[in-house]
Amino acid sequence: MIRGYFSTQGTRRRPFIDAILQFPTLNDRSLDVKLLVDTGADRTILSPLDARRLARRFALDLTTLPQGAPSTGVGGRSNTRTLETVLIFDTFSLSILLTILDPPPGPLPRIPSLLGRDVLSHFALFLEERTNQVLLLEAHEADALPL
Amino acid sequence: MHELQAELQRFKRDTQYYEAHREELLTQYPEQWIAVFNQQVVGAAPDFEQLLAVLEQSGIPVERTLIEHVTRKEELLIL
Repeated sequence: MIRGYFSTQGTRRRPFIDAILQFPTLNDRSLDVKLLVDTGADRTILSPLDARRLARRFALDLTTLPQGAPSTGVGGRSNTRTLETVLIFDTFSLSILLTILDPPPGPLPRIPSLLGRDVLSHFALFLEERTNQVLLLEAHEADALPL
Repeated sequence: MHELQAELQRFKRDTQYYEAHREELLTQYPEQWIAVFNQQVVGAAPDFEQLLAVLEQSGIPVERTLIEHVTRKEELLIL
């Protein structure tokens, strides 16, 4: 079982899970991130803010990464890049193709990185704000529930 | 992998520190970007890029640091 938490941002409480992203094509360098659980996101997304941390720390030119499919959300359409990534939780790791949003012109938007269904589909998700519980159950744990 | 799992536990302590001290941080650093590393605030600035510069000058590993914008303002996210 992987445990997350509700984090307060402004006046809102949102579900997050902490993770490490490791990049095999960048000499296994890694980035610590908190990921917003987003069942509406098809893919796991690195926000422009976290991408900036990555680029600055490792002198990485994000425009040299392969282009991904454009991302469409309520805020509009954005071009993307992709990066091979190993996502690491406590007891679980998974290879994914991480989507990185191209930064828009001007100040970087204050949106978090997103944990999308490419990863969530490996788990049963339990969210209960009342008791501050954010849980990802592995298959054998979900199968044991009397549902 | 052991090293990364240990690092993840360290990072989790930083996110827990932020959640536990958020009210104090709101008083100390309103509308600022702050960086938390090893359960301490290691930098604050009104601008994200400025904060990254502060961290680099201090030798703090940006890739290991929790960075948060400390605000009471309502911001609706519909992603």
